[in-house]
Amino acid sequence: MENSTVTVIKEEKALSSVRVGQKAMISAIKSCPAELLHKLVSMGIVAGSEVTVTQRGFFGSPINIHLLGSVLSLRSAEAAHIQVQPL
Amino acid sequence: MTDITTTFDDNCPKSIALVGNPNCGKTTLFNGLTGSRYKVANYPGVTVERKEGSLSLPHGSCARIVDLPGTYALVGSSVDEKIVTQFLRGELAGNSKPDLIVAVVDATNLERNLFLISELIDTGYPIVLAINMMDAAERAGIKIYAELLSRALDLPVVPITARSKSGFPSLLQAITKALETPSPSSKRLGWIAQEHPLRRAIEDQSPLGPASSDPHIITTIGSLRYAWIRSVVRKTTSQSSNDDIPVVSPLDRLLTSRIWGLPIMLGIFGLIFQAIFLWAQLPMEIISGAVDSLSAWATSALPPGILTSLIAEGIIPGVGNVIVFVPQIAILFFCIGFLEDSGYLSRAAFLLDNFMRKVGLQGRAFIPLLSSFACAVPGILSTRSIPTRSDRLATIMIAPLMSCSARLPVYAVLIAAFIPPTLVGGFVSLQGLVLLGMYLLGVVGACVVAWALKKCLLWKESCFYVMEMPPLRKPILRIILRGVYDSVASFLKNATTIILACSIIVWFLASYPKPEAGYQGNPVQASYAGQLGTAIEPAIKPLGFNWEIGIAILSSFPAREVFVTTLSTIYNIGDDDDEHTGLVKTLQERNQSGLFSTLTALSLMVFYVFACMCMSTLAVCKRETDSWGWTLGMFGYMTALAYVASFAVFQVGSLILK
Ligand SMILES: Nc1nc2c(ncn2[C@@H]2O[C@H](COP(=O)(O)OP(=O)(O)OP(=O)(O)O)[C@@H](O)[C@H]2O)c(=O)[nH]1
Ligand SMILES: [Mg+2]
Repeated sequence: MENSTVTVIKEEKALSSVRVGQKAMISAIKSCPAELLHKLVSMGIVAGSEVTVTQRGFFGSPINIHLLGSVLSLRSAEAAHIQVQPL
Repeated sequence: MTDITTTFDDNCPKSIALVGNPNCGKTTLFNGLTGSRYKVANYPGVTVERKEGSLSLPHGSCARIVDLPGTYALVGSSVDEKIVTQFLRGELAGNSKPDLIVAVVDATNLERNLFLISELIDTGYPIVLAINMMDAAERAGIKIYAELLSRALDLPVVPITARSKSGFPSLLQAITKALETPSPSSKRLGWIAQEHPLRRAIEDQSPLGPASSDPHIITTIGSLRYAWIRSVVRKTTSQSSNDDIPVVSPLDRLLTSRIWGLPIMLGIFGLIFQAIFLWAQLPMEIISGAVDSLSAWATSALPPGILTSLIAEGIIPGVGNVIVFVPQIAILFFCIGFLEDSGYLSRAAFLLDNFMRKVGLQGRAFIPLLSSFACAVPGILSTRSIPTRSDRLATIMIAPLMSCSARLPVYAVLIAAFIPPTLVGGFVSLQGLVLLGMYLLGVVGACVVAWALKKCLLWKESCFYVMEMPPLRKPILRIILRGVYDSVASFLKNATTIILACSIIVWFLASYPKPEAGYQGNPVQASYAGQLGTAIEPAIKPLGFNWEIGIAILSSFPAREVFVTTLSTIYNIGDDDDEHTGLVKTLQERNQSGLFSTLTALSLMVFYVFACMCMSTLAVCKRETDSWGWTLGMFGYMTALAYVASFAVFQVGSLILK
């Protein structure tokens, strides 16, 4: 949770570019309109949450992620705001 | 807002609000507690308005209870979510603040569900926490220690299974106790660390006040709440390890697969249309036979006169020809109910999002559009769960292009009369295919209209699609059948009120004035209705319609089914013999004698695909858009589209046939 602690620096990337089956830890949500941010945060997309990409549609969107015991579906445009560290 | 269904007297002064995430079972609980039968289905966003009922408590007292839409946070983004916040603020007309919140959470999804609870705790309302779906949690190996959770949250906690009503007595006891000795939740900001650097800024955020727009504050509060929730959940639940169970089941994977997903979806819808035609055939023949013999009996048994003629030529064929469609409507609602309760709809939304985005909509719009195949009114209401206003407006505007169940009688009569019942390739019925074609035509038209709307009229705004996928569940037959029963009942109610009234009016207008002695032609043509039909005939002739069809179209503006009623009434009056035959047979006879061509039937079906002939749709459009402009726009563009499309079908068809 404490994202200020020193961790081994792993490459950080956008959730939209994570491949299916990959586990990742959310590190930040960037440059996101407030309304969407409220929605994402309330659904559990906060720094420190673990996600697994489970499915992707054609052209990579929508992207389904497993998080907190259920699956969320979002577009790659929304997923691009979410920074993750692959685990 | 006028969506309170019932008002209650002062004997029940206390009120209770049901609050929780979407799809956690609030309506199931509400129905179980109050004996109501509001719609329950397995996707987020089923309930979009508040519904009130009364609850009898132990010791003979009672309370009002309000079912609300589901929401993930008190800062809602869509219309339905905002209703919850407004309700808790006491801002909605016709309600005061509730005395107690019964917060409902899904035991299988506890962490996400507790986010809203942590916000509710901060509001200071007294809360009773109901942990629903204990049956599903048990199956998944999740154990929740209610005592511990109750202590950690400082709230009364009751585990329940709303579907089988288990745990209700304890819940009612907890509610009674909380109403008698209300204890405001006191853990305000219990989740915030004393020494957090942003403490002051965070404390300024009141949970029911305006939402913060500072991204730093939003994410910090979110992280703190979730950290607190994680610590609570860790202390109060246990999960037997199930690493071998995949997070996405193989069936789910297949249904959403890139290769198989779309073919399977088309297959499912193809099957539905086959079912509507093939399975309904036998019961329909039985009903229509009964209507015919009833009509014949009435003619022979009753003394000849005006009343007999009204009954035998107006009411029986008019209402009877609509009742014939009950089997088809029941099958349609059964199939839709099955899809809704299985959780498949959200998979379809996932599969279609790309495509929907191309035409300017979003995957979520699929659900309102699918319910519009049953009826556009609930379809338009359910657009409330679409967060972006322009997406929502575009969805409302195209919802009536989905062929609703009221069009089914029109299509079905014409198809049965004019399309041969051959099997294509040995097993696909041609009639089913033509029906599918009509539905697809509406869908294609809707895509074009949505695309044009978003391109030209609607402003650009940031729109987003974030949706929780409900788990795939085996649908419960009882729930589906209840939905079918309710829909058929309302269809029959319609048939015995509006349609009965219309058929009497049409009978009168088509029977009077009686033609003068010596008049040779069709007696209907001389009547008021005939005069009207003849007057508009020039305008509809290019579509292939004669004056009789003109009357039927005009009469069906209040409700589309009336078309069938009117046609059978005017044919019955017009035919000089006393023999009454079903509308399908009459149409076939007319086809053989060249009075009603197959091309006219096609053009007519296309007209009904596009025309906006439903007062209730226009009324709900006005209510939801709150604008006459959009409402009249809907009526105008649909009428124009209907005219142009029918014109094209008839003219091009005539050229080809020549
Ligand atoms: N296994 C199980 N399923 C349940 C239970 N209660 C409700 N469900 C199912 O959960 C789904 C959602 O139920 P609803 O009552 O419509 O949920 P809701 O909270 O009103 O949903 P929204 O109106 O969308 O906010 C339905 O498929 C129900 O049959 C339960 O106790 N156990
Ligand atoms: Mg509900």
